[in-house]
Amino acid sequence: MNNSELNEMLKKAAVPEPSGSYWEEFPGRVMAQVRRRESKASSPARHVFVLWMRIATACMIFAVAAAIWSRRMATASDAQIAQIRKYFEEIQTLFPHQVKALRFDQQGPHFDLADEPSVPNSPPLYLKICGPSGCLRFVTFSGQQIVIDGDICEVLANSRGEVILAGSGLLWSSGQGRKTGSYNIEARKLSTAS
Amino acid sequence: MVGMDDEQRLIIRSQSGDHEAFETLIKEHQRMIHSLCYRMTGSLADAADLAQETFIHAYLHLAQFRAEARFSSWLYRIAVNQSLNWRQRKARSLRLQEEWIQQAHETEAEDSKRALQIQDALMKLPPKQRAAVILTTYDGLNHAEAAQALGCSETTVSWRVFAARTKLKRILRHLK
Repeated sequence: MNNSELNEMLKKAAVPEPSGSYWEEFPGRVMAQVRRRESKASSPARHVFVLWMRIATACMIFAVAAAIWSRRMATASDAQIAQIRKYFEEIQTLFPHQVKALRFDQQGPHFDLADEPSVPNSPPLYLKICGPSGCLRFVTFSGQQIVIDGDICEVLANSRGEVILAGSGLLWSSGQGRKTGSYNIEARKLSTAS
Repeated sequence: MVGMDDEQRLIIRSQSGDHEAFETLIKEHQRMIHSLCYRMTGSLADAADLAQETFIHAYLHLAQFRAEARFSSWLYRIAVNQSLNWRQRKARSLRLQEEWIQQAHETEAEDSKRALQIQDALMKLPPKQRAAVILTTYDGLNHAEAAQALGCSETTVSWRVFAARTKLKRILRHLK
């Protein structure tokens, strides 16, 4: 079979003719659909719906971004930890058994020293606490107190390495996950060179 | 039948929201679009749905139509895209079979049987090859026009037409 024979054969295959007054009715049917879609697209209810959908989508995007940001903020990088460890070791060498807590905030490091070298020898703990007013980092020990947004919290660590923070408005344990109320908390033992 | 100038005027009126003008354009092109959709789907019911969707899409996107293109080529492009994107519904193949059986029973004429066999052969082609052969064979578009309607290069159209013809010759050799 050559191309022209194939063409001839294909062209002989007629398209079935729709029945009745199909051709007269078809344009009217299409335009009725067009009108329906146009009125649907321009109805005030639809505008309100579209507006709400946009707001909801924006809120969802914001919530996801905030969650990712907050998680990133709450997770200290190895470099940050190394820097804090170095700083802590220097202070500890200068004031042996006197360091109750080191606090790092936007202004820089602050330290809380005991008057006498009375702080018991225990493994240092690293805490990163992110809340509505920003993030704070601490190096402290079990049994010491730290201040979070004006709330005095006791830091406790058990033998399994779990850390508990107990204050009048905050009670958190590392076993429950990072999120508590409006805070995101990370706590771990700070391994030192000594 | 409306001339090119009349068609341009109808398009401009339709673009400014004149439903009556667009209805005239539908009347002018409805058979062509139905035939294309039927040959792409092998079903009158699906062809009717697709043709309707094609014209609705055309009306709602009429602002995008550029006067330098032919209105029929633009419609072809919409219809081909609609046909290629047509969802393969589960019920569709059953409906198609029923329709064909009904059509075969309704008419004993040899020509109708042959037409169904040819349509059957077209349905065995991959959709893009089918579209290329329909536009060039039935609608008389040259390869450049078909390329425009299909949104691909002229070489691609030539290759698709060649591949489609080779397959059709093999499938339809017993009908010769």
